[in-house]
Amino acid sequence: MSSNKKYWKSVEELNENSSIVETLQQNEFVEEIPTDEFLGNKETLESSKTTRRDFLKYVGFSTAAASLAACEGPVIKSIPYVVQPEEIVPGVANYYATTIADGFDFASVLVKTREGRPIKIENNTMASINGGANARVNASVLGLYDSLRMQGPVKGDSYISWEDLNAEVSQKLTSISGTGKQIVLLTQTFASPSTTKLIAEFKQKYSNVNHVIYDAVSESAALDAFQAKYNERGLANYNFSQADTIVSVGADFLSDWQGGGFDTGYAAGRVPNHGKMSRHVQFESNMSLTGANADKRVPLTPTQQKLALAKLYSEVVGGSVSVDLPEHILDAINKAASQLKSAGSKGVVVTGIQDVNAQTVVLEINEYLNSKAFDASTPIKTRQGNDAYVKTLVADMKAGRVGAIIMSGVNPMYTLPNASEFAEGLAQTDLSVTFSMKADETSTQTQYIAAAPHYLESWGDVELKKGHFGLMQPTIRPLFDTKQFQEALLNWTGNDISYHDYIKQTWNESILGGSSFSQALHDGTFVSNGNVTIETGGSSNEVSDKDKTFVGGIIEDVAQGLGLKKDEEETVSEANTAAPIASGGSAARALASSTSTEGLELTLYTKVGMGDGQQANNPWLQEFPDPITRTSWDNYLTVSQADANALGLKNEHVADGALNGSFANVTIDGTTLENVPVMIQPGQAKGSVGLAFGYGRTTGLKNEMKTGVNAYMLYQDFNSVQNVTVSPASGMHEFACVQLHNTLMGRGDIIKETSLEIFNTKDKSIWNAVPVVSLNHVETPVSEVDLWDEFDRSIGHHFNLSIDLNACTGCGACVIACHAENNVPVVGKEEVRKSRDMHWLRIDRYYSSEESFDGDNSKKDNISGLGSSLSEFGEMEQASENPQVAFQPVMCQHCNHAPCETVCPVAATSHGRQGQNHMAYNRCVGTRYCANNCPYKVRRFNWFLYSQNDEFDYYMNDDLGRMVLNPDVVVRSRGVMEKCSMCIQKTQKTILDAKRDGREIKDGEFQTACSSACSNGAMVFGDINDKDSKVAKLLEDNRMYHLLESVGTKPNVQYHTKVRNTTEA
Amino acid sequence: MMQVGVDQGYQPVQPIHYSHKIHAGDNGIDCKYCHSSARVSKTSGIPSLNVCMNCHKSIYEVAESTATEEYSKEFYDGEIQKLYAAVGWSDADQKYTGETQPVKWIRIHNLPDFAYFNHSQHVSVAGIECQTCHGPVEEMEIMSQFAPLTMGWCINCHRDTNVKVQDNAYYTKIHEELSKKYGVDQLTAAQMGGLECGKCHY
Repeated sequence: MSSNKKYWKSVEELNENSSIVETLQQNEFVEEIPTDEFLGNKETLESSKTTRRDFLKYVGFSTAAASLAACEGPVIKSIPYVVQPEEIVPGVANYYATTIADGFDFASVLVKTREGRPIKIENNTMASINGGANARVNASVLGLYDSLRMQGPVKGDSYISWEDLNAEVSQKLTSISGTGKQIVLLTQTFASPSTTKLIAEFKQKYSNVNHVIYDAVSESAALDAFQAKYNERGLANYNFSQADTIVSVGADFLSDWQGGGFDTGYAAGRVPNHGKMSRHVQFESNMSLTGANADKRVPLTPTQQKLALAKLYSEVVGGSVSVDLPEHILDAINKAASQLKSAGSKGVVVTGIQDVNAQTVVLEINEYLNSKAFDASTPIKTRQGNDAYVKTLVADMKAGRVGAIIMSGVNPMYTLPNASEFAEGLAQTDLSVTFSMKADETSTQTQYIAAAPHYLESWGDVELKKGHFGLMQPTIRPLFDTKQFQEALLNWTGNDISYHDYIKQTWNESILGGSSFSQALHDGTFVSNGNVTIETGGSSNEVSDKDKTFVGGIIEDVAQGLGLKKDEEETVSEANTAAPIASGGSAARALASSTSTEGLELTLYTKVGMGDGQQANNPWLQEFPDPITRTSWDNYLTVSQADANALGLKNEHVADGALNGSFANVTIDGTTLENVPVMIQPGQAKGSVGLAFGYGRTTGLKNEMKTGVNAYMLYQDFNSVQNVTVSPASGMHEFACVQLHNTLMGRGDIIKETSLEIFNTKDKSIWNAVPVVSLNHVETPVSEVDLWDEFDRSIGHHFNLSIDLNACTGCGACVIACHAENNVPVVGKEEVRKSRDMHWLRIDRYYSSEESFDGDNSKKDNISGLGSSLSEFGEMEQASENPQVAFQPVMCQHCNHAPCETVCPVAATSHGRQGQNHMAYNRCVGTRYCANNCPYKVRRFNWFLYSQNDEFDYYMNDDLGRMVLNPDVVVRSRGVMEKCSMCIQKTQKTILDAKRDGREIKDGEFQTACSSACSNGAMVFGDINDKDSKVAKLLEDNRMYHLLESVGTKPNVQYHTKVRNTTEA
Repeated sequence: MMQVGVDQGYQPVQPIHYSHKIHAGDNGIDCKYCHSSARVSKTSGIPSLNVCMNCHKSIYEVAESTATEEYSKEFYDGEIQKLYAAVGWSDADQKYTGETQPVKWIRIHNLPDFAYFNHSQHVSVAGIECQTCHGPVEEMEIMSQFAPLTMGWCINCHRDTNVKVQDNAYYTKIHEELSKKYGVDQLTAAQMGGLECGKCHY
């Protein structure tokens, strides 16, 4: 059919005699082209012989030539080894077992290396110690490739050789040794048998040697209490999987409390098994990760915590105390106590109060209960610091009694509240040496910076808990001219064997008991079945005697310091040996007489993402959103809404949705920390505020990483609780918060949850109903309705990832593991603030706006009419004062009917038969339709080029930092979309390994980075076509649901309904 | 086509004139003797110089008959000396000097960016001859790129090539089910899922 269509260019054409149409027909360009400008010069014009056709030819050709010339392939060189190490095959990863022991984090880990480069930290599942690698341990591999590391030993402003350094230091040590002044070794907790032995030898060589162990974040009170009771400096071990009732008073035991690593045991007890799960009651001030996971959380101030603990003691163990607490807290304590009593040996109490009395009381309660979760026989050794010694040291230094100070693994100029006094003392020493990876706050103040290696370049051994050892081995040859503290000690004591040989000797003599060292090194972990005796020379007994008496002294000091009187005629040291219960009773009475003072009570804490701050230059950790506040790149003063209102502090969202917060000045006894950003924290106890350690570093890190304020300035007397006055300061702080909506607003189908009672008694359809849709006017479960033809996935592998919301504590180890595995870029604070964060895996945190999520759901259901909905939905955006909290890891759901796939104009994202949603980066043109059509908002867009770009000066911008990149995953470029691939590089590798071996794949072989990082068992990955696999069984579990199931996307990620044990006594 | 990254026929001059023809052709050395990581790794691996020295410790000159019109015996012997210099072998003393000079070979086969290729999948699992992709290397005096290494070239082969499933327990079940589904005796790599984007692009 021929067309007679006429195309109108303007209405003027309707007018047959229009002069405009006439003119335009003659004139191609409406506006006159300024030809005069370039044709005016007649001379040049005449000398040129280019016709218009030629001109176009030239333009066309030169454009093509230019673009092709730009594409010319570079000549790529390939340089093989001259002599290839036997164990290295290019392209194949090697794994080494080692142990991290940086003074704050201790864990047995596996290190994945490629072509000799460590690129990822994984859990060592053979290890028998607590927990797995947390977020910081996962991120620690990046510290190896830190471009600001010390490249060699430095004296003053210039590099010197190790020979010179050793010679000068030995000579000075010898001369100081004769003066009667102290030679101080100020170190982190090494918990290392061979280092202990080495230091003993050092003490024999030089006189007046004083070894001071210093933990930046102190557990001294707990150590003192344990030592007084059990005559051993250590921390009680807890296995929460053995507990039916867990009562915690201020102990954030799911993050770093007493060394951390308790979450694995805890999570095991949280999954309903035969109708049973543990009951967890948390009394705390700050909203902690632990409180967020509790079945019942009671906010109260630190002083009230002490009273509550005393009351709990009297209720459980006996004795009477009268405490002045609000009715609802007393009620909660009574109920917790009766649950503990009925649980008996299946109950456990823990506390995080930095007070010897409080810690003693807890030990007593657990002994009284005969708690199975409590273990005093294999104490944890990873915290050994002693506050009193550190205080004495600073005084001694100031008094000029210290001749030499040698530091390793510590940064007192940053972590001491009285850093200025320490600096004064430092100036009076004749010799100061710091073993440090960085020119940091402390090392820049000392005469020598002895460049220390990263733990992945070091030898070492660690006694993580009594009789449970870890070995540390280098996984790469030292990148720089570095030497370990221990090697230097060997040199200074005139011993010329290597530290490796020294460890081997020590182990063969006193630890292995005939077992093979090589096997222990291979495993990275060793459990001794006999007594371990480390020869530490004659001085050891002397020291421990001194310690013992000293601890008694401490308890008295503390009691007196608190203004408490001991019971008459009952000294604490007697109580320790004679009548333990009486000791607990007196401690409880001492606690009970705690009184609050005016002002607010500050609880200092550590964040899962930053810890004590030694990894502050790690961009992965800076960008890691805090699990509770979901804010990255900052620390802040957490304040309750009520206190914020009273003080005139506020949080507000600016036009683009980003979060701003007021500044406040925080003052203790004349010390003021100025301009602390304020974060209003739901669940923060009224009258209390919180602030995290680890931020506010000033030296030895990139400018971008100098974020937050230094909370150690407020850490007076190493007490994590301080009385402070908070006053508003001018200005607003800009936060980089990745989750701006705090509540679910009654959307109960996103995080499904129920109570243990309902879960046990009611049908699944009550608490985990499959959504229904109308099909032919009949209500039909959405799982049976399909808009599309179902693909046949019954053949081959079909991957599913299962996430148990009961076992997930929100710790975030998976987030960092994903970062490392998949070369996810760091985008920086400004970009995160614009919601351009790139994390493939996020852990959403929701607060309830009523007292519980259940309350939210019924409130939403009861809304009717416009007026009510306007006001009540508005209310539901606000979190409750003491909300329930839920965590939900969300990554690409790998929908079988993926909404992203249907809208991609270039088919860059497509579906695989194995259930993975593929993303071909080189096909993507960056329309972002897919992200807009994704109901889960899991797709991430590369707004910029994040590698080799000075605007994003993080690890991908330097040659050293890029060594951490996983060679099996590409680095994406600007303008493409990316997202979770369900670690297709790992599943493909597993398949290939099986094909090469000609065998079937066993369940458990398939892993993603997140599932293997999850030591809590919350994430299970596998093949659901293997009907015997764990994940296939989980798919059939009653608690299983899919996120936004009503949309019909049929995801390959399963969630398991959260069950709360709401049983009150 | 070389301008757009298709380098079929690319034949750069290498720092040492290494003749595949002499080694793999005339002497019949197995490819995987030198390129051993092709069996287990994604890369075939360029042999490290200690592998060369396994033979060249004793072979310090070529036979008269090896010389051709184009390349004289002196030329070849000179090239062996280059190897000795690089690996730090003193032919006179019959021992290593410890002074090494890694060889900067020019890489010939460059896969396009964003594509993942694994040698062991093809070599060990599928049992594909090296020559299928690399051409008659045993006849090449100077190594050159035989295949275009384009995506179309990969895909065509995946469409035509049957998966080698015999005696491989991994394939037993999937082959039985899939071949029934497609009604064929032999499955191609494509039918096995070898055309899916995510198999090579991640």
